[in-house]
Amino acid sequence: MPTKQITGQSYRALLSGGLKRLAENCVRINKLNVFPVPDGDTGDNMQMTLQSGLEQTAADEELPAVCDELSKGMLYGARGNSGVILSRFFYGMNRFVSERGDVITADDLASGFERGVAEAYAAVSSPKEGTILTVMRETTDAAKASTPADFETFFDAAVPAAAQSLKRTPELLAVLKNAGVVDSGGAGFLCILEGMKDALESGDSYTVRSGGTKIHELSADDELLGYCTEFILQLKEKESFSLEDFKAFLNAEGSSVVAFANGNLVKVHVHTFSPERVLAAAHRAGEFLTIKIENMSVMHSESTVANEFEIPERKNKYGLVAVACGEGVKQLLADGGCTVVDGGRSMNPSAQDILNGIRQAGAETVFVFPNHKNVFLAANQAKEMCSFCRVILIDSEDLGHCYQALSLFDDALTPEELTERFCSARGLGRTVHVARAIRPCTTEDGAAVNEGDWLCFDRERILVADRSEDEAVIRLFERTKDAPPDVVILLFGEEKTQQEAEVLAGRLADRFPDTEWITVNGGQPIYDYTFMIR
Amino acid sequence: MITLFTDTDTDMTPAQAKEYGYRLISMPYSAKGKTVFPYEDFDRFDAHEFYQMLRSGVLPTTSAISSEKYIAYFEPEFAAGRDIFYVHFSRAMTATFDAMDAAVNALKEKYPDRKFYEVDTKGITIISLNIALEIGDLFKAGKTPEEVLAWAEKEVDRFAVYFFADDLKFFARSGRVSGIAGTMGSILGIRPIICMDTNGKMVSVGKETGRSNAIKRLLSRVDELGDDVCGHRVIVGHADAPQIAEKIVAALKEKYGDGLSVLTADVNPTAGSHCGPDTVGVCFHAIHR
Repeated sequence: MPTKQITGQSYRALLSGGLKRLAENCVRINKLNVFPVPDGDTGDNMQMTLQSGLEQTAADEELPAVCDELSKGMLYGARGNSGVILSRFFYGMNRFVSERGDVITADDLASGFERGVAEAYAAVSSPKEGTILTVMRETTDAAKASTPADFETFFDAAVPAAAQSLKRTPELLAVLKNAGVVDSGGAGFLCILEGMKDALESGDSYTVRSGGTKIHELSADDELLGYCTEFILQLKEKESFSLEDFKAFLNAEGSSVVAFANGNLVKVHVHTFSPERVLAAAHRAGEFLTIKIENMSVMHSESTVANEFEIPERKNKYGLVAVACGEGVKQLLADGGCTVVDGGRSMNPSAQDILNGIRQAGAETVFVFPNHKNVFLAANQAKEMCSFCRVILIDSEDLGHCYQALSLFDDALTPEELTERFCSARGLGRTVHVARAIRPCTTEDGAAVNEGDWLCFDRERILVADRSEDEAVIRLFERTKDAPPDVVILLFGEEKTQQEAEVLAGRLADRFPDTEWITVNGGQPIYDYTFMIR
Repeated sequence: MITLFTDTDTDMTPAQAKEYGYRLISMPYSAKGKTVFPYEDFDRFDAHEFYQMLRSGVLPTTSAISSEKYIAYFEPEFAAGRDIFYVHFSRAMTATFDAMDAAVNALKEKYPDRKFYEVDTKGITIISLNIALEIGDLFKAGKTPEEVLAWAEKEVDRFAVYFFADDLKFFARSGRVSGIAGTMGSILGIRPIICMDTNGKMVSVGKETGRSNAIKRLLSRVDELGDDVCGHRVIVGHADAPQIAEKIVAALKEKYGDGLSVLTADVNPTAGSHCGPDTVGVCFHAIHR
């Protein structure tokens, strides 16, 4: 029988179906990466964003309450650009839907989608076609055109339209075409729609237990929540590890399970009463790169409420917040005066994480350095949500920009003068990463690159590739021989040893003696070396 | 009769002290829970070992010596009927001279006929060393204490020193440099250029990116401000960075000829505790500081 109306409970069930499908396809979506290196994380980001929304909702809530909780959870939990756009889409849609009362029709949903698209486009300062935005818009157009009398009609129109739209993204965006991939955010959005359609047809719902870090204070009768446990595990042996088995174990131990693998890294999020058992089991499979465990009950009663309603102490005139990953990299920025928010490429922080960093900086004016274009929208979202101090977002797209900006800091200047200085730092140097190609591609000069070659690339282009990592690096700096850099900070990643880095730095110093080479244990994942060149 | 004194914060070694007839007052530092008096607790300063310790993360502290310690240095001279001429590091950088003043006042009451002369070099390490050696020359040439004081009155401000440090964390901790207070923290590869002003304080006068540019800046200061550079010593000081010091010496010799009198000096451990390893500076005779 066609579904004419849905309630808060079924709306939540549909979205839970969307989350389930997204989770199943997370790794595939991560791999839809423009750069041929294993640092894509769109799947993770979208999944965690939707999950943070659904965790705020409860199964027995009325529709307006579900919409409200979902929006808040997603806005705070938004990670990565696709996550932020998704959160804004749902924010727009939920505002419309919640105005309809306790039930909505398929036509309402279509109108809600329209509102969502408008909001999503508004979230991006210069919207690009060929992205998740295009898929959202074309899907909505098709759904609306179907004048759906029931939800089956809605999804019968929406899902094929989304698939078609996704397929066309490479035609609209050259970077996708060159990389031979479709847009990852659009792919995530399609998964959500497919999952919603499945849930509608099967009547099943993927259980998302309530109980993320609540945005509001706890009421006295809320359930006991256990520990929010998150970690990144580096596997000892990728081959002998079964993600499916491990997920089954996690589901037995707790709820709100998110677990996905990226190369030999496994990221895990679970709510459990026995984090020690989860950690012990995980430790048998590998070594922890990060661990975070929070008592959710305590968090509710103390930190969350305090965070939400108290104005933090503003002891400094200026604060600097930078997003970075890798212990050594974070230390470098902390030494430079920054409050560091963990994250960056492949581990995007949520808007809430960035907001917490701003709070921690404790200043009248806080400058935020996202340090990656995929963190920019979440940082902007944090800025919009911040009510306790002035936030100035610097459009730093890499670590080097941020680090050079720090060298220009002077607390005698006005916020406007500092902003100008910080923005000008972009021209002071460049950042180049070194990682291994996961598929064939070409360099900016058109040279063919084989899978497994070592790539030196900046935020836009592949500069050099070589079968030998050290040779790729030497060739990178050969290009600057006519105007050698003054200083190069060589950050070596977690896969490299101090000795390996020093041997390379020694070779570079012999070859390019006019440049000062500074070797630092950055500890960053994915990139064997990151060079901050000035 | 007169006895010359200087302190170990001037970078003077026991060999130089012997050559110029100085007695050394040892200025201590503390590291790993132990207080060390240079050239009292050891005979030879192993700069590499000391600065390696700092590189490994140890942050030494320094402390003023007591009035009693000054009395122990000075009283035997007064008791033997000798006057004292003390060439010391900057009063503006320390509270230790309050203790010295108290000691000298007490001794003057006890030995009213004895004289205590002092020259504040308004600097530390190589700038103080340069002035102390020049004063040593003057005494060797038979000048009287009054003539040397008159010389110092004019000449102390005409010895300039410019230097850069590798890691600002040492300076930031001691808070002894003005002009870098506005920065949030230390940035690798960026080197503030610091000089001693005529008040005897360290002032940051700009910054350079990369060691090569920082070296160039020091050399350009010698060219711009230098006055009768060849008629005086040029001293290159370094905190366990001999290769950089050699580069600067070579560049100076190329510019001013092999006849230029250039010395290199290890930055003493007490001052080195505040500037950190790989600090390098040059001191020369100038039109002004």
